[in-house]
Amino acid sequence: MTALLPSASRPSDRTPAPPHVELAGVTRTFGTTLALAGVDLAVPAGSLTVIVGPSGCGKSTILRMIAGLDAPDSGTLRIAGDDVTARAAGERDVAMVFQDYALFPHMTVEGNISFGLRLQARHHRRSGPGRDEIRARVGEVCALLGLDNLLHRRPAQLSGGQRQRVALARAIVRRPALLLLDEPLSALDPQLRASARAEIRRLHRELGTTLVLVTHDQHEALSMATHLIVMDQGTVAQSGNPGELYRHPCNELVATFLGTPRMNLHDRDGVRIGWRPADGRSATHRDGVPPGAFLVDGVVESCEFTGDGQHARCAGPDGTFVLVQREGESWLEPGDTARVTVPAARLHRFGPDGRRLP
Amino acid sequence: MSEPAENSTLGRRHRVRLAVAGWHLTLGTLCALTAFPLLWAVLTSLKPANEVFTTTPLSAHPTLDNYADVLTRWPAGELIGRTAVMATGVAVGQLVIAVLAAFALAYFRPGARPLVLGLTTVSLAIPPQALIVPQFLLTARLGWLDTEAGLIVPQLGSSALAVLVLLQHVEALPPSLIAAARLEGARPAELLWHVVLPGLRPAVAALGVLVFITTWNEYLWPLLVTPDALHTTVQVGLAQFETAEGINYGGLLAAATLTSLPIVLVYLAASRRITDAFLTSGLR
Amino acid sequence: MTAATTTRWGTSMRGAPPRRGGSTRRGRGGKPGGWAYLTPLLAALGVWIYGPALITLVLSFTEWSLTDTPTWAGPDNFRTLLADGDFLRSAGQTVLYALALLPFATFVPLVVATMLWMRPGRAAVAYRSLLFLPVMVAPVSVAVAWRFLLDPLNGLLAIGLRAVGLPPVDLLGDPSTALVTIVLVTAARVTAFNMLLYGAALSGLDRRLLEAARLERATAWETLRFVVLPQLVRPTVVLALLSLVLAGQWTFTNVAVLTQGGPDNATDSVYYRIYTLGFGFFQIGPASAAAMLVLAALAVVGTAAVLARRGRRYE
Repeated sequence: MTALLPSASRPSDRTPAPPHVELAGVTRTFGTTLALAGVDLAVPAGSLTVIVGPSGCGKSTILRMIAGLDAPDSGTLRIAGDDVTARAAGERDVAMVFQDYALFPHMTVEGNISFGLRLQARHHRRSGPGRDEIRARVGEVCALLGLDNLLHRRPAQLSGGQRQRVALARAIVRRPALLLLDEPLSALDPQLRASARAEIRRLHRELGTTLVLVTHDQHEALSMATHLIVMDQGTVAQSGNPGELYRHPCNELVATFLGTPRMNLHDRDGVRIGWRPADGRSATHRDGVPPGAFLVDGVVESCEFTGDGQHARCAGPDGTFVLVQREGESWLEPGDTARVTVPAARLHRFGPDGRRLP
Repeated sequence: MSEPAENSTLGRRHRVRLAVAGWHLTLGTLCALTAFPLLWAVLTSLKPANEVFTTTPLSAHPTLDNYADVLTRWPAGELIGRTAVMATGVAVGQLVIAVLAAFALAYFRPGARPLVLGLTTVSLAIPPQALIVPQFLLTARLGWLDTEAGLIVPQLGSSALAVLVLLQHVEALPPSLIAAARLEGARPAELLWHVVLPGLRPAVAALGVLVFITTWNEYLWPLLVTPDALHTTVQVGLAQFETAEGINYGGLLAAATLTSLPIVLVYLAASRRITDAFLTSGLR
Repeated sequence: MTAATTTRWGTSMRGAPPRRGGSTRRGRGGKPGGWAYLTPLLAALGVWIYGPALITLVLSFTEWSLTDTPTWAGPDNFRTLLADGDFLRSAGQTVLYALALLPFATFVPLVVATMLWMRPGRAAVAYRSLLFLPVMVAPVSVAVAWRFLLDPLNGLLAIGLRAVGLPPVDLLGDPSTALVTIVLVTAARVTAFNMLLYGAALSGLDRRLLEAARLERATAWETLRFVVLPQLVRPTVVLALLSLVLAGQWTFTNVAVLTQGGPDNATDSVYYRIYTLGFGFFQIGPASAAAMLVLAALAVVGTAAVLARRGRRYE
């Protein structure tokens, strides 16, 4: 089991380079709502950082601030060491892919992608890119994303996946040091998401740009991030290596947010005990209980067939829990009794304030 | 409710058909009522002088004499030309003012935005009659009486409606589009030109046609600025035609038709666009 | 919920609070540099609307006939006006116009717009275009056509009456019928324009509500009453108010072309009176004073409306 979890020794974590983006003490209030309540976070250079969290946690606000589309009420924002809190959006060497892609509907794909470069050419007539250079770079990016034969189409004539690639192309053609993505997969059909995830990871590997991605989907977060930040209610709950967050969540929110099916929680002796459904093992009355292991009983209420196993929702004296049965293990039906043991090493303990107990 | 199943469906289908017929009848009648005076005027203009007052719709000897008469004795061409220049000038002018103002209010959101909007909205309610004396004096002082400038420029003060309609449309644009352009380094003027304006094209076109037509129909202001019946706009010329010619209805109606026809044709060609601009801008 | 929700404002910013007043959309508050873009509008409004309004205010306290020099008259103009029978009569008739046009500004266009909306399709589009025609045709042309039809000796109406054996009627020349005639001539235009405004209000209504009503076995009348008409209450109030305020202006061209305020001032309105005082008799002082009185009345009505609206919002 341990071998399947990303280990702590990934190259990106050993990088001693200074973080690409740093937020310190950032707050933001909209009207009467406190969207960001003192956020401190750092994005390691060259990483694929995913900011994840439930609705309303402030992740999109953070992204907009990094882009320069919004400014903090207090606190500082540094990009590549410079304090850019007051700098305008177009001057930060930051590119962004929006959730609805924001392709200019009246321009062709080529026009969309080359827009930024054409503006640069106009602003810096002498030092900016020339027409040939623009065409070359557009071609380069289109080849990278497989858009060669779509150059003269309008956005309305493209599929969702194609539009996303055009948005990506537009973002990377300027060779930005920092690339932001706002919920890049939520507009795609579920079947496309897996390939889109792989595409984004591939781009990250090939370009070496620092990527910051925002999503509400924990599966996307775990699968793509080299650095993971979980936010809740305007603050950072935990950040670090995805594996680290998964195996050692610092509070109940992170523990229950990451991983599916959700972590099971029981109250026992004033302490909250958590275990992931996949870590539990069905036990019969005859099996012994290993020392320190957690034992929980219940009756199966409903079962979901998952193709390669079952998820059984059970209820017992210690509350409800979900049990994962794999193919080969006994088949459960509603009404069956279930007995689960969880090894001590797989247990999580949380105190009354939700924070992890050592 | 003891009717057999087939009867009730038949009865229902009957009722539906009756309702549809009633719908067509009501609307058709209303159309006929509103169109009648205009239609009758056109038909009369085609009658020879002695038949002008008959009750038969279409004369047995339809003639274009009235039109020939009007065209030779009345400077129709010059009047139409002058009016076209005025209408185009006002339409273009108001659109420029409105596009710039709508963009400024929506994108920059200055602190004075409520004030500017308030002033704009209130200007809609001010009756023109309250302003014509000073407007006339100012136009005279500028030496613009009897000139195109005098006809066009003062009417640019009525841009309020265009501003409000375009503001609605600008704010209906997806904010991510503006944000994306900003991130690409676009300056405000470039934002306006490359992103906002293309999105406003249908609204601008519809508004342009609307302003053109309402300016074409304007009577009071041209009456004051260009009172000379021979060098004025079509509406004033038509009204003067009436008082001068006494009651030569054939010629009068021919003149009225002649001057209304271009507008009606323009409208019928663009009516869908115009109604759509109103229907989709979500007027409050 | 993994589907993207693109709201009316575009990107769904999950985690961003509900938008209020749009202040979050383009960054907090204002960005610098917008004034250059507003200058044309402000110049146009200042030079041709508000400047003249102030001048009218000043002129209302003077005595002037455009050829001599203006002299200060104090509140005399106002005093004379408020004692002038003709002026008071024109004011009363303006109110009459407003009330008479009210059904044409609210009830009739509401019905028509609803009918057009309930059965969308090519027929509706055709009817709508035709019904909107009165707004497009020049008022002068319309007036001229009506003058022809109503000619007391030879107009179609006269001929019709003769054929039936009734005595001829001069609708426009008879003080007792002239005002009503003007109202009817103006009605088509008012109805046509307001029909479009009601249409705009209706277009905001989700058609699926109709289907839901049908599933609940609602009759056509019930659907109208409970689903459609509530949507139209607010525009009706607005349009009624507008009708009261603008009626006099709508009738202006028809009065100017057809009756010139007569016969015996029977069709006079405040607006026409201002015009005749100013450009007929060249009494600039009284004309301006009359204009100020009208503006004051409008300001009262407008403020009352705004206050009423705000009051309702706090309920």
